[in-house]
Amino acid sequence: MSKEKEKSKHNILEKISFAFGIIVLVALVSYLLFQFTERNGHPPQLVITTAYQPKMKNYTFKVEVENKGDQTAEQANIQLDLYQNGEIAESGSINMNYVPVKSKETSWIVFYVEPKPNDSLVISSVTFVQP
Amino acid sequence: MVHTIKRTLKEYGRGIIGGLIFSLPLIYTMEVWWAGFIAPPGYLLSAILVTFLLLLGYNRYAGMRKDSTFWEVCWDSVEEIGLAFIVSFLFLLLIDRINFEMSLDEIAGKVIVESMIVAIGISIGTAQLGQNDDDDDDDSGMDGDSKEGENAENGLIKTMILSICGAVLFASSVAPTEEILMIAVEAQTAHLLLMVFLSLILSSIILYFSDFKGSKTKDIGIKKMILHISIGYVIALAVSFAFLLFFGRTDGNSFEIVLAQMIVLALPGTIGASAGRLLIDGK
Repeated sequence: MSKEKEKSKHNILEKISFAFGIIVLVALVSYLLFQFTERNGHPPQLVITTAYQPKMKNYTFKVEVENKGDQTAEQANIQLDLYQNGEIAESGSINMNYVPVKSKETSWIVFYVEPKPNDSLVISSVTFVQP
Repeated sequence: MVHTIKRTLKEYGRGIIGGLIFSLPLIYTMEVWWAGFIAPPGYLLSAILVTFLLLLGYNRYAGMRKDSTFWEVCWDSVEEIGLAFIVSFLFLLLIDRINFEMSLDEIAGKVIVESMIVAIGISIGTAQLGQNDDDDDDDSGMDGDSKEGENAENGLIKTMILSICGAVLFASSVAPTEEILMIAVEAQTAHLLLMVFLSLILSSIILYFSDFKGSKTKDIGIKKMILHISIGYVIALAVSFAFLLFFGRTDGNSFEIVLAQMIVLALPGTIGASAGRLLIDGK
């Protein structure tokens, strides 16, 4: 049976669904093939940025963790130390189950000491597991 | 004959309900979301390919239209993948597992992993959850008239494909969970042997000793019975291994642990390959 005859068996809704299915399949397969060839298998690479949030209550910093590597980071742990007058005034840590590839996770850390002009927030360690 | 829009909408409705029935446990499981961004692109591509082949097999041997040509089977399978993608995307959006601040990699991975099981559920739902009405004269996966003439080889291929679909559906709800590894690691050899034994016993009860819907109780020789039960169990083991591989449960584990996980997962897989197979066949 010719393809034309077969096609005539379908109504407009079925044709739209079929076209959508084809587009989805082609798009997904192309995207995955692109990823497959583009990724070099580099391990997770976490880039961390911190920003003081003066509008929030207490002494709060926004912490963004972006994974620029080619693999997901699992059980990421970021240790942060708040320095005042050259000494650690308070410490805290952030745990994340996963930081997916090319994704950015946002978190906040709140300190309870009084803010001082020359405070600095230092990332003292970053650990993660490669799943 | 061109189907009416009303009838197509009914089919889609049945399919979506079927997809949700089989895949909701997975949509609510965090290990599956994680698999979406942990699995390498090659694994996701393989998942799409395997799912599409299973859809072709299911639609060919137990699908809704008895007069299906290969082109029709392909058409239905593509429609089901498209529907599954929409359902998975919307459901993940609804439960806030995806949002537009996430990377495309993460969104695509999660939707792909979820939509594969949804697609098989949609296929089964469309074919098996309906009832005959005047508008459905040419439907009939359930009547199975066209199957009368099928030869033994075709019958075996059909049995194997439906067994794989059944095993995939039943094992998928527990395959991604940490519990499989936990049970496997802590199980003694005696536990594992009992699991193998129980899998085979359950399979034989379902297929031959319980008058299960669609099961064969007459004229089955012992050799054929053992052959069918063994094939079902081997399929359950193979499906279990594929799931373990996909969800990263084989990485870094010894052969003994992987084998133990396969045996643990093959228990629900065997029920799927036997009872599940009979149910989704709908005969």
